[in-house]
Formats: sequence, C-alpha cells, structure tokens
Amino acid sequence: MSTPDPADIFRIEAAELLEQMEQGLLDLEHRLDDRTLVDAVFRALHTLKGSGAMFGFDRLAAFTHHCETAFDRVRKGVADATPDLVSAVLDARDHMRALVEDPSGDHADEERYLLERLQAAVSGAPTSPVATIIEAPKPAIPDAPTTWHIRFGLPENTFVNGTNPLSFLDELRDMGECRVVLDRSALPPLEKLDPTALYFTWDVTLTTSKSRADIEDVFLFVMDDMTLTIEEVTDGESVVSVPPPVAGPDAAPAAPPVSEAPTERQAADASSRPVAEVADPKLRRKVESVRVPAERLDELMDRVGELVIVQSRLQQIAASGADIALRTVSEEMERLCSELRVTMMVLRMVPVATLFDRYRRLVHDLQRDTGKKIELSTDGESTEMDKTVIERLADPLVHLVRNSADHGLEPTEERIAAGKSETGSIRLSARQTGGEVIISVTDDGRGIDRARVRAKAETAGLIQPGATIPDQELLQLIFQPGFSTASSVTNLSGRGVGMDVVKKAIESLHGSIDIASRPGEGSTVSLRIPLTLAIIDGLLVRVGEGHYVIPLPAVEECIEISQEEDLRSRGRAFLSLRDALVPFIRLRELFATGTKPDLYQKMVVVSTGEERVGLIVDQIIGHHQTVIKSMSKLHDDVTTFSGATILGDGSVALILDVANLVSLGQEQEARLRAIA
Amino acid sequence: MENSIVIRMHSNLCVSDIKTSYSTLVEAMDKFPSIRLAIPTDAIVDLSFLQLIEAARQRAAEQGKSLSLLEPANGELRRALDRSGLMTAATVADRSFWLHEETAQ
Repeated sequence: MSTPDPADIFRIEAAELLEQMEQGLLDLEHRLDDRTLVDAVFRALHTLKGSGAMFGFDRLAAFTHHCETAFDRVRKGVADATPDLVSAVLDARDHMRALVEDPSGDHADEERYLLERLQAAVSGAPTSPVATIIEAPKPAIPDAPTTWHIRFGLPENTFVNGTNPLSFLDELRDMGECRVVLDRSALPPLEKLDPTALYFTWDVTLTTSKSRADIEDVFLFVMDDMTLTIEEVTDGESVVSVPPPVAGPDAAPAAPPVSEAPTERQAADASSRPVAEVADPKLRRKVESVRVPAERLDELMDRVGELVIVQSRLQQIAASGADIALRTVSEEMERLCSELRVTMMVLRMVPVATLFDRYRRLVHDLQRDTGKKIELSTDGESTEMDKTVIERLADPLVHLVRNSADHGLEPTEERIAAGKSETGSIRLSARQTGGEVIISVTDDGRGIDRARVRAKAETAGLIQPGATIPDQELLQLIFQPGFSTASSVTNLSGRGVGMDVVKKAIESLHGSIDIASRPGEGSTVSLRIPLTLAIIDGLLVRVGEGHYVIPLPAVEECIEISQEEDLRSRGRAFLSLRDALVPFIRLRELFATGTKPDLYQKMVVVSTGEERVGLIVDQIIGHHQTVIKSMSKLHDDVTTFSGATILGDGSVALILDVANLVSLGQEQEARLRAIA
Repeated sequence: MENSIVIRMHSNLCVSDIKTSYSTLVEAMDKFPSIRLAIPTDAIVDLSFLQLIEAARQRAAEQGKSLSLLEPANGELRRALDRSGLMTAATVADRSFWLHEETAQ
C-alpha cells in the first residue's frame, strides 16, 4: 500500500481546523466575552499555522500568523473581541482555505486587503502599514529574562501525525538563549525499534523574557498527549542537562561530555508547575480512531452487498433441500451477514449536525448580503444519516436556505409593519421516521404567494389558465426548471435555477419534497430522504408471478384477507382496521399481472409517518436483506418503484416506492370521498 | 561471510521512507561485521533517521560490530544533529561517530 502524500494528509487536517475555526467564530459572534471560544479559535489558528509550516505551506503559515497574533491579543486581554474582528477573521479563514487548496496561486491582493481589515479590527483605526499594527506592540521596557528548565516528551505517534519535533526546538531557540539536550535513554534495541515511532525526549534550558504561557504555547497543539514540565530556575541554580550516553562499547568509555557541561543536580524547584504529565509513556493513550477514505468504505459496502446476495442464494439452496447441516450454516451466515451489514451501516452514519453546521456561516453571510436580520436555529442534529446522503444534501439545502432568506423572509421594515419580530427565523430540523429522515427548512416569512405562482405557471405554459389543481401540486411548481416568482434577480436567488437543482438532487437520492406554506406565516420545505442508499431491510412479497420488496421500516403490520373479506371489499378501496378505514391498493391490479388472486391474500399496511395505505399481495415470503440497485435512465418516469434488487436465484425483484404508493392511496381515498 | 559492506543510503531519510532504511540496515547488520554508511550530502534527514542510527550504534556496540559513516555528517544531516540537540552533550564516541573527530576539543 502506498504511503499517503503528506500534503494530502495536511489538507484533511486543515479542513477540520478551518471548520472548527469557523464554528468557533460564529459562536463568538454571539458571545464576544466567552474566553473559551477565544481560546478555541486561537488554538485552531495556532495549530493550522504550525502544521502548515511543517508541511511546507509557508504562505498559509505566514498569513495565519497574523490572525493568530490578533487573537493572541484578545486572549491576553490587550484587545477586545469585536464583531469586526470576528467578521475579518471569518473572511481570513476563507482565504486560508484558498491557500490550502492553491498554495501557489496569486493571492497577494486579497491577502493585503484582508490584513488591512484585520489590522483595522484589532487596532480600531485603519491606519499604518499592515504588519506593524497586527503584530502585538512591543513593551517599551523588556521584561527581565528568566531561565527555565523545560523537559518534554512527545507521543510515539508524533511522526505519523505529521508533527516535527524539531520545529518546537526551533521555536524555543527563537525565544532566547537556548541549550537543547537530546535524551536517548528511552531508545529501544534495534530489533524492537518501531522506526516510525518517536523515542527521543528533550531537556532544554531557556533564558528568555517570554512568559511561561509563551513557552506553553509552543506546545499548544500537542499538549494533550505529551509530557511537559516547565520549571523556573532560580538564581544560582544550574540545571540537569546531561542525559546518560548510549550504553555499549561504542559509548563505553563514557568520556565526559565534550561540550561545556553544567553541574548535574536535580532542579526540583518548589515553585515548579508541571503542565501536562503522563508518567509512563506506554500508558499514553493509543490511537482511538482511524481516518479512512470514504471510497474505501464505499468499496467495503459494495463487497458487503455482494456477500448479502450470495448469502441469499445460499439460503435458497439450503431451504430447497433437506440438508440440516447446510441449513444451519445458512442460518449462521444470514445472522453474520445481517450483523456485518449493520456494522457497515453504522460506520457510514454521521450526525446531521455535520451538515447543519455549514449553514451557520451561510446565514451569517446572507445577513450581510440581504441586510435582513436572520436567526438560524437547528433541531434534531443528532439524527444520523449515511455519509454519502449527507454530502449530496449539502447543495440542495444551500439553495433552500438562500431561498428562505431572500424570498421567504421579509425586509425588517415589512416584518415590523406586519407585527412580527424584526429578526427573521430560519429553522433546520431533522427527524427519523422509519427508514427515512425528514429534513425541513422552515422560515417565518411571508409564505409562498400562490397567486403569483399560478400566474407565472400559466405564463410559462406549465398549467392551463384557470385550471384547478391541488394545492400541493401548485406549490410543487416552484421546482420546475426556470421557475421563479422573484420580481428581481439577486446574486442569491431569483433565477429559478436553485429549486430545480434541489428537486433533481432529492430525486436522485430516492427522496421526495413536501411543501407547506401559510400566507404571512412562513413556509416549510421538507425533504424526505432514505437513511441509506445501499442496503435496506425489506419484506419480500409475491404479486402474481413477480417478486417485490417493501422497505421494512415502512411496514406497520400484515393481515390475512379471507375470500369473504376480499369479496366484500370489491368495488371499494377501504378496509376497516380496528375501527379505522385504511385505503388499500390491489397490487395485482395496479401491476396488471393478469393472474388470478391467491386463495388467501395478504394486506401489508405501510405508512409514511401519519398517512398509511394497505398493499394487497398474494404472498408474503419474508424478511429480505435488500441490496439496492438503481434502475436505468429508461425507468426515470416509473414512480411506483424506487429501485431493484437481485434475489438469491438471480432473478430481479423491484423495490416499491412506499411514499409514492401511500400518496396514490391517499389520492384514491380523496377521490372516493369526493364522490361519496 | 564477507567482512564489510558500504550501504549507500538514498536521499530520503525521513519518516515517510524510514522503514526501507530500517530493513536495509537490519539486514546488513545481520550479515556483515562491518558496515559503513554513505549518506548523500543532499539527503533530507529527520529525527526518525537519527533514532535509527542511534539504535543501530547501540546494537553494533553490543554485538562487537563496526558501524560508521563513510563521511563525517554534513549538509542536512549535520543540521538535523545540531537542531535536535544530539551534539550538545555529545560524548567522544558520539563525536567520533558522527563527525569523525578523534579527540575532544
């Protein structure tokens, strides 16, 4: 296996740091006095700078240094955290991302502009050359130098993490008069040496006017995992700095050190303050997580899918014979496959919070661009979804949030005139129902203007003038290509492009979109998305001679229908189920199988949240782990099926689109009620 | 068994390729009583290489074998030695091995 490019490793790390930084800044915007947030942002900046320098991203390191310096002033109470500073660093953060992605690009103008903003934000006055003001002002009288004895050891996985201990030593040397002594005593014999692990530790004597905090800052982003003691050396004391030489004949003469050797003594200063200490390096925390490229997970998922199909075939073979041993193995295999599938799914699941967090920055920018006051709230962030699904939801949600901000929310004056709070609200929420996650974008704006939608649709020829169409269908027209009711085109929306993209993206995820809107009160766009796109638990049924899969999470119950009940229900579309009328669909008729019904048919009651419908099938075969295969482009217009799967005998079973069938059942119910 | 070998190290003596250097060195130490290392002047060196050589010195001393550098440390290797603090409290043996200095200054 090839060693990953260190620059790529850094890019991944940098993306995480930039994300942390952004979230910290967005929080800080609302809690300017929160020292924890200031520290968090500083820490991210410091780490990014340090790692950037180590991996050769010098320009990024240099630029980040200015932001770090600015935040350091806030941290030390020299300057205040202000909205201007937060805004400047947020924009600087975007520039850092550009420097990570394109380190050799021409960024000079942007850099200068951002540094001037940063300078103004820190100093409160947009004057003087950039660099001089961003750097913390030097004290008129330097502090008296202090001598420190610093001992430190880094975790064994330091190299693997891309950290270069030499850079720490360089930083310490930059602080003042420094004597660095390397300690080899922990080095294991060659045969036990892991060449990629770090065993060296260091004793450093540093005379500097810098503070203990400044020294600690050198190790800021590795402090959690290292051993570090910093002791002040009082007058007249000297410090241990000679570790034992390497044992063996080579070093056996044990000649005194050639260099100037200070007196050896234990510098145990009563005022010493260990910063972070883990006594036994072997007890240091081992790696607790592994970063795996998403494509490897996808590969693994494909293999699991193939395994599930083979297992299904084995199950069929076992079931058709009388070999007890084979049947036992088959059952064990089924159990293991099921567990493997669940484990695999869990590996791919990430909380929706990772998605929602992205929109905080978007809303921050939208406030600036629209001049509206907007508050973003989120709900159900712990709901988990397949990583791939989450990634593919990112862009559609950008469009929806933009649309809410630009079209949905009214300008401040209009809101006040309407008796609303001057701050508009956009709410992102997620919840799981069965095998679906519903993600909603709700605003408390003016709502969708149905008359304008209708007028626009008529003009565009999407509906006949004066045609009566259900409300949901009318609202869904906003997802038609090129459809926009915005009277002006802004850089945010109004071109009718976004909503069309949203619809396509959601459909590609086998999802659907619902819209609810009340004039003057706001709108909610709900995206119903399957939890995963790979393997689902299904209920295998037979209708006529064909096999179909119903996603199991949508199944509420199965009921046998006697011949009598079947005859009684002829010409109707409802069955009474525990005093409730449930609309049903005879799949045999819907699919025009041309076969006679079985003697005892079954009704599978499925639901999508509050609405439910019964599906009449000939036979319920049982549980089936379903590896979803997409249907071809030729079947784009087939709405009853959401995909297909391969059964153990190699035949194909279609997967029913429950949401569509429920909607079909509800329409049927509405029609019959209207007739009644 | 032949008596000695000169191992010409490649120019990447960093952690990314240290396992190769490790294997080469261990194999040579198993086979030869005397090993001389030729390190390119332009080699990129980090601490992992210094650790490896220090561990190899230890093994050579224990087994009575000879391990040495063909040329005294220079270039990036010398810089790494200085930056790491390895030479600050160097013994005569250290200076002899790394810098080919025969006597203490």
